[in-house]
Amino acid sequence: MDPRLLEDSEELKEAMRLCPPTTRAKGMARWAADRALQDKHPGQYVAYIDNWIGDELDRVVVANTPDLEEFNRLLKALEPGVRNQMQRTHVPDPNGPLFIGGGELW
Amino acid sequence: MSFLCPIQQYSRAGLQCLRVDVPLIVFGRHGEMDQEFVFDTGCEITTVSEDVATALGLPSGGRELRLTGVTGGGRCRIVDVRFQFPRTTSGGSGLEVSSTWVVSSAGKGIALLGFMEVHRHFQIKPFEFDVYFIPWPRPRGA
Repeated sequence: MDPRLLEDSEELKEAMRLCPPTTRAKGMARWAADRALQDKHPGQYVAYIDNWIGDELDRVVVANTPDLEEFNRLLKALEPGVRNQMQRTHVPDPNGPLFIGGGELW
Repeated sequence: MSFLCPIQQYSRAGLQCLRVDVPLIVFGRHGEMDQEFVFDTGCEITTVSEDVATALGLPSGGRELRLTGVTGGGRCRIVDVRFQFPRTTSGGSGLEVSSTWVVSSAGKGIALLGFMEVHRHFQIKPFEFDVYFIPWPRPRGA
């Protein structure tokens, strides 16, 4: 076996020890929270904190706006403790066009 | 330097979709700026639209190129950037690197993290709800 794969395996094991993969119950709860964001904040930039009690998720939105510059201003106004815990995302509009990404340079 | 990102679920036009956002810290004219990038393995070079480039304080100007995607083409420019990957699983600072990105004149709110950008530093290990990004092992003696 390629020795690099062994090292790779140790690195992955260490990462998984520190942050174990999300359980199915928690993963489904997180996906439900992702879909709920779409209901409430479609097309917006959103920052939120996930509070877990066992497998139950309480997702608290701490900033939301459709404008990126305004979003960055809102985030700068948050307490550092909140900023360190929060995650941010751009919530896709469920009625918006499908995003296919990709590209090619000529 | 390992980190992980959640696989997010959302819907578009009634279709269920999955997406991985990678939060980067970009060092531009405005200092450190946070920005989520969609991890896009079909994107050849990390790409942002002009509005995102402005918000991040990326350099103006740069060599101009043509750009094409599935639905059309446009103009773009190439800029040098410095950025940081997400915080590590142990809570440490993320890997800080220099790179070259594309700023596209087409689209709004676009921030795509290209496959090469990630693969040159990390192995990619997807699980059901998370993706682990694991640094490549260093060559012996390095």
